[in-house]
Amino acid sequence: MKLDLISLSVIQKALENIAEEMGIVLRRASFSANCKERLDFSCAIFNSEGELVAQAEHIPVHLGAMFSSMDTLLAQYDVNSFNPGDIIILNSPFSGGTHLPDISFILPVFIENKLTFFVTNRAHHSDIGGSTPGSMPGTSTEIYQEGLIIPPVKLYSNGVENDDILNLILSNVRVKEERLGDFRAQRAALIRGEDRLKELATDYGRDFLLNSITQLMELSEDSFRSHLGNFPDKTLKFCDYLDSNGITENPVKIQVAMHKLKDKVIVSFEGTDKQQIGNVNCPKSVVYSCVYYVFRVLTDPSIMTNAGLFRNIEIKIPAGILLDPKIPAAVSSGNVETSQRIVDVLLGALAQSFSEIPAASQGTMNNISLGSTKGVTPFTYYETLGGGTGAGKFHKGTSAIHSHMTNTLNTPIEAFELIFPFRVKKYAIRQNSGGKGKNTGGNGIEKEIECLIDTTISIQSERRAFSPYGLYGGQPGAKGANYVRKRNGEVINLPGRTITELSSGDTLMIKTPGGGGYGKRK
Amino acid sequence: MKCLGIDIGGTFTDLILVDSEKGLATLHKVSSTPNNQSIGTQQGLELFKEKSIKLSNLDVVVHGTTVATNAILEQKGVKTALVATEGFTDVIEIGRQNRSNLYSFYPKRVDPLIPRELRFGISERLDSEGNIVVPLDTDGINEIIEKIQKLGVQSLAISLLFSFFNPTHEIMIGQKIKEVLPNLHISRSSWVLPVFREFDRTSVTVLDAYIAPIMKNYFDSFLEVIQKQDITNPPLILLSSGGVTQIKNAAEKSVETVLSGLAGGVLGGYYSSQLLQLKDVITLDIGGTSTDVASIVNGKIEITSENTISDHPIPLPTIAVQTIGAGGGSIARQKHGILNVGPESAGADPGPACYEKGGNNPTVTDANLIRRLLNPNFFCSGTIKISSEKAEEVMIKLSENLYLKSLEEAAEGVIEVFENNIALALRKVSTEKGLDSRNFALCCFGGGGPLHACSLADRLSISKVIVPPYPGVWSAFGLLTADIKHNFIKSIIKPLNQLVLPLLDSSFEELVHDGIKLCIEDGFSQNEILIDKSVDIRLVGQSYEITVPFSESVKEISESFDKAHEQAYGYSTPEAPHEIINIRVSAFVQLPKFSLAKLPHGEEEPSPESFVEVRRVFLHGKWEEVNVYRKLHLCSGNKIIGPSIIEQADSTILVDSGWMMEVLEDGHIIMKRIQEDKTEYET
Repeated sequence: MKLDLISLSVIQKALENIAEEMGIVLRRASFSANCKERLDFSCAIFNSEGELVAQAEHIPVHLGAMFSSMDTLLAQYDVNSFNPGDIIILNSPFSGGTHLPDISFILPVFIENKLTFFVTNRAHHSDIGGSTPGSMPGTSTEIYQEGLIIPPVKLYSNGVENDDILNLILSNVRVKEERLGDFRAQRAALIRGEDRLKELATDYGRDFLLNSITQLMELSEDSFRSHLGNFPDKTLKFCDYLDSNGITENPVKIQVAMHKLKDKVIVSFEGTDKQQIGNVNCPKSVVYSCVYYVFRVLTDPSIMTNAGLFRNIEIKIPAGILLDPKIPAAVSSGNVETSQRIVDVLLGALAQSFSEIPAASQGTMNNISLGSTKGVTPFTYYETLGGGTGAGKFHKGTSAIHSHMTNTLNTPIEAFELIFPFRVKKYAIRQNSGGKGKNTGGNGIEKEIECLIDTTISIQSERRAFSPYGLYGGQPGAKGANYVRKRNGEVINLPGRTITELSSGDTLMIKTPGGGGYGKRK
Repeated sequence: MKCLGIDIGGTFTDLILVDSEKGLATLHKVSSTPNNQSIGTQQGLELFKEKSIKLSNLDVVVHGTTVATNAILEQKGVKTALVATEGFTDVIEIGRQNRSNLYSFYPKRVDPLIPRELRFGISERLDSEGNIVVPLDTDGINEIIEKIQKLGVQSLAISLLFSFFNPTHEIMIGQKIKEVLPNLHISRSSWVLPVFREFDRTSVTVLDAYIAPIMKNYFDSFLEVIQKQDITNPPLILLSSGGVTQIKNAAEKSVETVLSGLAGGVLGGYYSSQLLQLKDVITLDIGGTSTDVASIVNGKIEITSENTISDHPIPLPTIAVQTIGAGGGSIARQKHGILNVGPESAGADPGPACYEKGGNNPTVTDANLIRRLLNPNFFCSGTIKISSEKAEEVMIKLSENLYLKSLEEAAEGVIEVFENNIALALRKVSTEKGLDSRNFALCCFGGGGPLHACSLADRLSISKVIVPPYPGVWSAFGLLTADIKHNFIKSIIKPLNQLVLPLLDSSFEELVHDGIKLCIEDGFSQNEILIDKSVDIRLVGQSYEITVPFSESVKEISESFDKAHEQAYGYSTPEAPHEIINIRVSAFVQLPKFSLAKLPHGEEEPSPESFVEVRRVFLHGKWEEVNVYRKLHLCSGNKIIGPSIIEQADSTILVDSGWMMEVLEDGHIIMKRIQEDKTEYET
């Protein structure tokens, strides 16, 4: 077929726009603060072979993870078993999920009666059951404590809701009305995507559209390959540590080695510690996300994000390590915390050859879940806090912002207090927490939340023991810290991962890490 | 009636004088003078004088300005301080803690308009119902006053948590500071925008304080300039909401003028839609560097509270305009195999390559010239010389990069990508909101709108296109059609049931009172004032509201909401509890409308006088011969079948293949898709 670059240009835009439009629908129609205020979700389009066609730029940690759920789905289901109007739901980290609160919806799109695309979205739900409200228990040791595991199952068949499955799920979660609302929103978004893809196929014809998509993938693959020219001939190695495995204070090592082999980059995690008793274990799908994220940033932003971009990256994860956990490993922190350290390690290795790499950013998402089932209305609330980003050769770090694998918004204080029984006492930039250097790292955040009723808090946070590294003589960023100021004024230190009961009048205080500095300060 | 509209844009200042009795419209375009926009106005007004047109007996003068817009975009506001609840002075810097670009190692955030050393915390706190839990530290105010004096602050924003429920503390602080510093401008959040979400509210209050002194100075100099030209009427200022108000009121809440420059075009489109009795219209304004699109749904201009300006939220009701970087000057480049057109623009200087002022990249205008849709001898009536040779020279390289055999194919490719970008923006204001684009008419203006109108309409399955009589200055014309309007919004945040009605009544009464007061200050009497009440509703647990008309019946409100929800998201849940978030009041006065000059009536067949030439143009992949006409000589009732071209001083209209146009009495052109023979489909 003739290379029709004009149509390609137009089709690329149209596909990206469809993924984006799905996100708009999901955001507006959803109920939980996670989707509507924090934008903790992603939308993507895959072809019938499960290759990424287009995705909306929402949350990087979902980037590779969406591929994995497609892989599992296609491994588990016969292609002929899909029908128009089916929706598959899943969250199992051992079947392409990330952690249990991230629930994926997948809808097969039929064009001319042929399975042609899958549209999918993944949203972080505020609760999916388990031992603590928010389903992110700080100290879990097996996945069963983290909530309900949903393997790929059809929640809708031919457009009809499967009440049994829905009932089963809703019976296992804390705020079921909210789950139901968000499920509806996830479905509405997929249907919008389906409609738009059908329109696009009508405009261009199915075969022409699919051909163009193949070409778009090749274009992305070519640009990645040409970019690889900059990759050095040596092996780049780096290692860094998680503060703890979630249960004991032992640091957990993550190690990477990268080298070029012909047209490919080989990324190996050999030397990384074994699967852990705590919840720092990180599903493979998340590891893929981290690697893809780093290479996505390194390549030209005008290249389309699709399967072609990542075809020449080979990821090696030795069996039995932290990054390929087996049932019943606890994983709730893998997606939100271990992922950030994987990025730190990848960047640390690349910094040896690429001058555009920054020092370490805060390296944590500071996950805080608050909840109670004791009051008049049970509630769960989940949020993450930004921190400092690492400085670079030509840039200072940025303060109080989310870095790398997440980009969720904060919940406005007034929106939070209108719904939940808390009073925020402070929400400020943590001064002088960025690492000093020729360029200073960004500052972290300080937040203080007073409980107005007895509350269970669950924290998953990192960089409380090991600081975010500086580069080329720059100082590390300040470590984060968690405390409680009791009603009587006594201040108690909290560990990085904890489940703690707070009484009315107690105040939770969080200080998030600063980013590393870059270069020696003169 | 004699009305003068002065619309100041980034490149040009447009002036339009309409004399409805004589049926005359006089247009002037002069270069804008960004450093002091009044100078451009003065130069424009001088041109009327040169033509011996008197300006002393005008009925209305309306002004659209980009002074506030530019001050914010260029960060050239005054030195402003902020007083916020202690512990929360960084809220405006942290924003929503997200980055706008996901895939960058160095996320950049727009600098806060007030640096840290000018942000002061004060001990006080309200709870989420507006009850005082920490009393205001009045001694603290004195310390702040000292610092303000020492640091030479010119303007002050006050924004405290939950002040939208209880403004007492904000008012006390304002009064105390005013006593000592009577000349300091003060914007308080409970006045500027009493709605919840502290970052948005603080941000808009800061914007208001940041530009208020600048707007005051600008309005003073503008008044001086027009008074020098013997214009005695108090001029009206166009607000971002599409309403107009007296200068004095505009200066009171200057943040409402932030998008003034964008509103005129939409009003122009609205005027056309009313005239042609069309209820659902998308307005499309294609200029030199950007394209603005907006929608009119069910006879109403779409209003949003989610606009932003350089990443600062503007949660005020403003006309919902989507602006994208696509215009005549948009540059086409091939990168990684993909052709991009815009957002980078050659602007007015150097302009498209064909201007021969140093531009070396192919632009949309160059592409249209190569397709021969533009006439090199009649570009802006021949006042701007453009060179086809130069356009072809720069297109050659692009055509090679795209593996295309001919220049004209490359040119058409550039237009294909350009129009696709605009089509996506048109979808954003229609289909993405759950509205069926097929029910809309497309109203096209700006220099470039009428050339791309049919093709864009085809992309959205729109079958009716409107072209106003003066497409190039239709934004300036739009100014003259605005009504006096004052919008108010207040957060309520209560379950939607019978119990909330008394609270709604008293809250509405307050806002209505404020609205009437401002309309009276604008010079109108009570019986001319109309009131529009609406409410923002959502399901309990949701965080996006939908605005629906207010009714005394809770049931009716719920039903309107469910219907709107169904339309926007494809489902509704009438059984779920609803809550009322905000109430809105719009107080307005309809200003007298004038009619446009009538064209002489003609036959269906255009007169020979209007015929210019038969020209070979490149359309839909092939060269074909089309008739070219001059608009000036067309009469009402003339009908022309596409493909044809109609040229006028300020624009070029393409009647595409499959389309037919008709000239209307008042100079509008309506284009309709020719009905295909239905039997063809049946066979």
